[in-house]
Parts: sequence; C-alpha cells; structure tokens
Amino acid sequence: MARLSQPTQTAAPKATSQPSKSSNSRNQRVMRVLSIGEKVPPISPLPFSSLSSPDLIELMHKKPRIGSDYKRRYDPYVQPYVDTTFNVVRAALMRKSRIEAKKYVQLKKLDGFLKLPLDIILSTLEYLHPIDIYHLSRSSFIFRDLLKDQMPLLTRIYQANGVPVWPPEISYDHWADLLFGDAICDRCQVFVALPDFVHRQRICSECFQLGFQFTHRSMGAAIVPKGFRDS
Amino acid sequence: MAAPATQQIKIRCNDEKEFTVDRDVLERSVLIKNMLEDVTEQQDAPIPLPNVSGPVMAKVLEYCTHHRGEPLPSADTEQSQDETRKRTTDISEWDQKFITVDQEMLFEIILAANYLDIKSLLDVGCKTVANMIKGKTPEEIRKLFNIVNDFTPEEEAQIKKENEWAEDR
Repeated sequence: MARLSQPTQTAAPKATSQPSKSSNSRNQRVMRVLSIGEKVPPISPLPFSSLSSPDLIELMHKKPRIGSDYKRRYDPYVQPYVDTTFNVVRAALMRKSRIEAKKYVQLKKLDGFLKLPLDIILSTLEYLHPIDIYHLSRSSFIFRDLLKDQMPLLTRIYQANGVPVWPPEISYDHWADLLFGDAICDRCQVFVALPDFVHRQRICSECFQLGFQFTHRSMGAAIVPKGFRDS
Repeated sequence: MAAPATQQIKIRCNDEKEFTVDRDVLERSVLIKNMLEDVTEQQDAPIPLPNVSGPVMAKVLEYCTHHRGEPLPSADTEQSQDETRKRTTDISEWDQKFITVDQEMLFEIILAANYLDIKSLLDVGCKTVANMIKGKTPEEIRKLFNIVNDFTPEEEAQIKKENEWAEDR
C-alpha cells in the first residue's frame, strides 16, 4: 500500500503545478502591470503593431509628386493633414518592406512559381505581410482564386503580423480594401477619406455633410444623420 | 545502435549520377534518415532517388555538408511553437549566397528539399521567394510571375492602386 501511494502522491502535485504555471504566464501576457519607474512602451495609434507613428507622420507631411492628380483629390475639409491624398499606412508599409527586400536576392522572372505544388506555394505565402497578400489578390484571378479558399491561412497571416483580423460581419476583401486601399471616398470617388471603422467605409467630410442616406456594402441599409460628425 | 559517423552511403540520382556521402550529411534529409533506419544490414547498392537530378543533388549536398551536425528540427518543437507568431524572412549570409541561383535551379532545389524532407532548406527556398514578392505592387507582381491582368476595366478602375510615395525609394 505504501509503495502504491507514494508515486501517486508525488505525481499529483506535478500534475497540478504545471497547468497553474502556464495559466500564470498567460495572464502575464495579457495584463502586464508595469512596475514603478518602468518606461511605458510606445503604443502605436494605429492597428498595426509593426508601424510606428513617426514613420507615418513623416509620410503625411511629404508632398506628393508634381503631376499626380493631387488637386482632384484635395479635400478642403480634412484638417490638419491636408496632404493625406494617399493611403499613408500602405505607403509606409510598402516603403518598409521595399527597403527590407533590397537585402535579398531578387530575380527578374519567377513564372515557375505557379507550377509548384500548392502546399509549397501556400507555405511561401505564410512569410508575407497582409499588404502583399492584398496586392497578390489584386494582381490577377490566378491569385484571387487561390487565396479565396484560404481563409484560415489569411487569418493566420493577419494575426502573425499584428494586423487586426476582419470582423465577422464583413468580408475579407472589404476589410483589406479598407486598410490597404486608396484613401478615396467610397461614395463620391473624388475626395480624400480616412477609413471610418465604425461604418466600415471611407467617407469624406463632404459626403458626410450632405447627410446622405446610404446603404452599407455589407451591413444592409445604414442611415447617417445629417451633421453626424459636427455633434 | 548508432552507426559510426564516418559510414559512407551511396545514392543514385535519376540521371545515373552517383554520390558517395557521409552518413551524417545525408541524415539531414528526413526521408533518407528514415530509409537508413529501416535498413539494418550493410548494403552496397546505392539508394535510388528518382525525383532528383545530379546537379540539383550536388547543390543540396553542398547545403547539407555546410549544415552537418546541426540539430534537426523535430516535429514536436514545430507543433509547440506559437502558430500565430510572426514568421521572419531572415536568411543567414551563407544561405543567401547558396540560394543565389537562377529560377529553374531555385525551384528544383525547393522541390528536392520538399521530396527529401529537408525542412530548413525548404524554408530557405520559400523565404527567398517570399522576399521577392514582398513590397511589390500588383503591376510588379504581374511582371514577376508573367501573368496578365484579367480583371475587367471596371474592376481594374476600382482596384487600381497608387503607390507614388512608396515608389520613390
């Protein structure tokens, strides 16, 4: 009896101690209390953990090149960053990855890639950033059809790169467009508009002040009252 | 049980080219490692590898020889790792020099690594391709993969992207 009871006694605390350890570390990861005197880590104001605000501010104040349709997109109501004619987040992400890509071998042609087995193609895509996935899906129907059925992979890529995953009520395409698409109003297609994450649309202040009753692409009809932003 | 490290193994590629390699170099390939573990007695006949050609095998062996003795990533460590962790595309300096080849050879190496089950080499190949796709606009991606834009003009007008700020670097 004594022999039998001994192993069970020693085994029991082991089994209980292990789960508590892991749950402790999980709690620490979610809610880390800063000790006194510790520096508060810089928090990005945007839902992109890989971008810092100085990157974006620098781009925002940079004038677009002469010859672009800058005037057409000029929105007098957007203050104080009048120069935000383009998707600054996309530009910052692209610039970052372009600088990074220069470190590595670059081939001019890569057309054999599409002949590789599907699992190799997909494991290659796992190394990309969501913006690259977005650009792939906008390049041709080949990639669009390929990525359409790979939602678990896309979710994983978004999570791994610190980009928020699309809410369940809107589609991946819509969300990717909101994050990485042109900074143009969805309604008038003329003026600059920052993404409105409440309505999941880009609406310029012009269209907002018109107080349009517009239908939302995915949520059915949504009515925005006149002067919504003024109040 | 463990065989002496200096044991020589013969392999034969699909173009009848034969290689005589140290056992520990060949064991970088999980496929050959499992094969060798199944066969207990000493064999003189070369191992046939019908899916790999001679030049590619020479390249793969160059990689295996350089990385001999490094611990093989086991299936357990791979699974326990966080799935949602960011995948780094960093490639070590030697691997970068090794993978500086034309695209036919690059894809042959990737296919051979997949067949021979050499995880680290497959990763290097995939990262190399991923680094070529990174930071490219849709237009550049089309050029890279030699594909045509098959969206209709309306779709195209809607999805046309401007990257003026990104392009001047």
